[in-house]
Amino acid sequence: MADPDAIGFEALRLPDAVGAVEAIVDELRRTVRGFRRRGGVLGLSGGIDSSVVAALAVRAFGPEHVLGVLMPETDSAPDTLRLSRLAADAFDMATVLEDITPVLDAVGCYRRRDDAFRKVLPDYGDGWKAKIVLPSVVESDAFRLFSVVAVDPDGVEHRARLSAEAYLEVVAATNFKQRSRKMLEYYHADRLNYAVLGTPNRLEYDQGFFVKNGDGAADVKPIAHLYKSQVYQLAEALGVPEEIRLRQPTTDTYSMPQSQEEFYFSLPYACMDLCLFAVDHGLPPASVASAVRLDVEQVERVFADISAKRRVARYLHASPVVPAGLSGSPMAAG
Amino acid sequence: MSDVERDVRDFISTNFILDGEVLAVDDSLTSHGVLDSMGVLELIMFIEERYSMKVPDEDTLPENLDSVERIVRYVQQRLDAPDG
Repeated sequence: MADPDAIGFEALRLPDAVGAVEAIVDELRRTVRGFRRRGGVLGLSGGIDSSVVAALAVRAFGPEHVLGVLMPETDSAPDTLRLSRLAADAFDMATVLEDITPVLDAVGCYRRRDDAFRKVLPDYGDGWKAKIVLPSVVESDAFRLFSVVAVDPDGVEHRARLSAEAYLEVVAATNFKQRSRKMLEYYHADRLNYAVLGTPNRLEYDQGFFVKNGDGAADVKPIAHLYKSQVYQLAEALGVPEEIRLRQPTTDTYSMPQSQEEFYFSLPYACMDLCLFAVDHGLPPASVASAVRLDVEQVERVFADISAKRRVARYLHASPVVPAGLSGSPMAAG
Repeated sequence: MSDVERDVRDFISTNFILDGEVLAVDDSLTSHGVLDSMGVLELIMFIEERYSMKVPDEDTLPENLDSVERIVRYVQQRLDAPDG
């Protein structure tokens, strides 16, 4: 017998995508006006999220009040720049190119990351490419441990589990990328008196798939309430070029191509969306098992992973804490 | 208290902020916020270095690592094994 609570992917569908666009555009305009800023700056990555936010910003402020910052670096995918320009051209908005490789080099991003990789792969060096991967959450109850997968200059693949120290150092070093990009977005926002527009979707925002004070920083996040499936729906309504809509979501952070599933999410985005939707609406694992083609036990693991990521995301979302109620505190009563 | 349990408790109290909380031997370390993805990596590193053993991926299960009692049992079994 079918589960009476069973839902399918249609549960994620916005009933009125055009109306949703208009509501976001109104809110975006109101928010930025409230900040007494005159437009928006955003980093363009050639992906679906930044392309949709660009389109929304152009509708809200007009193309002459939106700036797309293109910030490739040496590990960026070859098509990142081309697809970023494709989005900007589609919405007739200005862009500025800021290659962040020299900044990252100067701050030691690549050197520090490679030193950390060498802690578990001693031969890692020039000409190697690497990425960090996680095992699937659905296949077993085992704790998920990060590994580095690397290809040497002869094309031979190497794999090693990361130690806690190596993992933290790799992440700390690569986080320079998102933080350097945000620094440049705020530079342009300050010089133009614009606001910085963040591009996370709900899945990323909820699950902490961002760098604190990096891509997690922004003045307004216009699509953070939308599941990624809904962002795709908006992309179609907004006329985001098909090539961008068909691009596989990527982290575009490591030198080897890395899907978001390998690094962070446990399922393809549409299935993650539906599981998150079920958790958000208090529905049991059985309600989505059939749609996401997993058994109930596997969906239970995905739900547990969602809860675990929310615990981690709490720190990422937290503003600096000012002790309340202590003597001398500005938060103290009276 | 066995030597292994003392070692494990020392490791936990030295590396994690417990805010005065005392863990029972069978308390779940994940439920108490001690073991997250990073804590597991640190715990495995501790076991590998302290007891000179490799913890293979297939052993990184809650039934081996998610309480003081389980960790002690896992380590003791590995130490007692002929190839341990």
